[in-house]
Amino acid sequence: MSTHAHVRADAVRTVGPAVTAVIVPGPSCGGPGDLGPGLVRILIDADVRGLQTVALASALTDLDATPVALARFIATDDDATAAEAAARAGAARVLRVPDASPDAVDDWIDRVPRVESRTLRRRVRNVLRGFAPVRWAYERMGTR
Amino acid sequence: MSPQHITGTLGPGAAAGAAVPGAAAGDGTARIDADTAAWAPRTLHAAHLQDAETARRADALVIRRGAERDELLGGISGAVPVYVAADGGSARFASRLSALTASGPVRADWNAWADVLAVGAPLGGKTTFQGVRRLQPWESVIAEAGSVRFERAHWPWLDVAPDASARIEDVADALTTVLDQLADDHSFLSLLSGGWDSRILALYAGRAAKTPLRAYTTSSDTGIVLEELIAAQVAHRLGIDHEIVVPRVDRFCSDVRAFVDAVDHQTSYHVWLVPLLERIAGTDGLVLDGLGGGLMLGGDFTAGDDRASRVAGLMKYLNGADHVLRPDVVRGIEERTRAAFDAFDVAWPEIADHPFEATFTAYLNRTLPGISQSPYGLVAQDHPVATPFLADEVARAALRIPAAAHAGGALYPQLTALLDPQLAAMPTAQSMVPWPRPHPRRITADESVDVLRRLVTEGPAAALLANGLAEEGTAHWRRLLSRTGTQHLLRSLAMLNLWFDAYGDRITGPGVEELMS
Repeated sequence: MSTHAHVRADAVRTVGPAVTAVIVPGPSCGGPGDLGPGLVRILIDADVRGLQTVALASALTDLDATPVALARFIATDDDATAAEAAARAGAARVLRVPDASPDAVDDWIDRVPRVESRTLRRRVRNVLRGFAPVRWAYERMGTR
Repeated sequence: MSPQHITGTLGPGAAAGAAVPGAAAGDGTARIDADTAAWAPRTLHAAHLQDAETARRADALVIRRGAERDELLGGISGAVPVYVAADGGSARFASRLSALTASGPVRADWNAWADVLAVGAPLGGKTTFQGVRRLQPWESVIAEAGSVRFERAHWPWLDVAPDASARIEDVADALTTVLDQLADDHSFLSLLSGGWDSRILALYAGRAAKTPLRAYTTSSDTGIVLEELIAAQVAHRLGIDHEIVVPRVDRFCSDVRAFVDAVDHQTSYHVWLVPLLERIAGTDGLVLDGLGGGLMLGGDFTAGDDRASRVAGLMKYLNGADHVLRPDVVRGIEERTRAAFDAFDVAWPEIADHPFEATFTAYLNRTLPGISQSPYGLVAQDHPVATPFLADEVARAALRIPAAAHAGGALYPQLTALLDPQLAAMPTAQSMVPWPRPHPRRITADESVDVLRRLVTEGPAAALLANGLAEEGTAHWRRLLSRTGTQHLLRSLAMLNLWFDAYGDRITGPGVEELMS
């Protein structure tokens, strides 16, 4: 059984609490070519909760789709797509898989690293961030 | 040189290649009268060309020539870089520093380089070149009687008196006026992020624009994509065309080179903006930049700590500096930059007790020297640019609202809600960022680490590195690049080496050892 609980981003309205990875199929895999409002909400939730986002790309053109380009990882079953994805995103964010179709995700999803979001240390940090002075300080990091 | 840039000479050398009032079309100057011209990195509205004072308050650079005296009169915000190199009785000036250093020997200003490392950019009107100054707000250069002098008159923004009856509607009216005037001459391009400044500009500009606004967003390299996603929500809410530009890891080296070249090696902020500028190259439109919004409206630095801790905060990049720099270099940099802040107190005595002391301290020591290079160095290479929050009427309307009312960024949603209450209620990306950030930044990809390591270790700046750092592995460098302070230091050292590359054997005088205490 996979250690990741995953959902397809364009097939759900909300992401359940147990989910650790959100799958974003590229257009050639039947997924969205653009960011619609519903997809944006799903991806915002994923980012805020520190979930992994994994795009499925079987064709080079998939990489030009914004939902694919914003994903943390790009899984591909095509060599040319893998090479171009590595050039764009860095080799560490590319997964070369035998089958990048949505139905085959369970076969390789465990290769996607878990984010620290589920660790006890992170949960403690999240609680601390609820305190106003901590939140004020953090929100000012990176302001112009 | 494009109309977004200007170059000229004051004094006896003015006859050759000078910016002349009413000069030939294409040099970007606009005539005020027979002796006076104005220039800005955008089309100057007719209303701003009544006289020199009006033009300066519209942030134009004014050039006035007389039989015995030439004057260069700086704009009110100081945000548009104007560099001056005085030489005896004449002075050359340019909006691109490289125009003044294109030939002949150059010498490093090591106090300025210390500021770059500690704070982000040279302070107090310094540049990284000895003999070249950047004009401060409302500063003038006068060439007469065979000499050149710099004069800074009392800055009008310091005289804006808080008024309990001042309203956010006044800020809205001023912003509307500014954007209406810009819309007379320009279509708009929005650099939309997930924050308040660009959201407000897109909202108000959309009402003023004569043609539909186009918005672009890129990653600010925080590892997460909330900026892009929140920007998409804002664009959808406003009904504007929106494109997200995703940077490429394989272009990181060229992005670094392009950025530091565009800003004349004055700061290493905002390398991440380069891909977006490449995307909009050749696209018509004036770029709206939210420079200054955080200070004038966002409540940044208006409350909280005492002045000493705020200055320490401005030197935040030295936190953990011993992981990157030799101890004697850390000491040397700290000494020089603390001296710069002491000099600031002497140069701007009116600020220490000002109700907006924290705002103006941050403005003059961070916004102007460093962050302004993003719109007026990088973006202005190819596009007209405006920074509406620093327009005189907008700034004064904001400063009239008492400082306490700015705290916590309270004015932002108020200003937004006047036109769109729903937009005002939408969270910003910054308010939603998880802590600690769950995903690594582009700059920490193995490929980017290799690029930075090469840029830092191959050149004179390598002599400044902490013992053993150059030999450390990728994992160690990745850890340094994942933290704000140490990342900044490494980017700045890379820029220093690129500066040495650019000027090669024209560099004279002492080298990096000057930074060692």
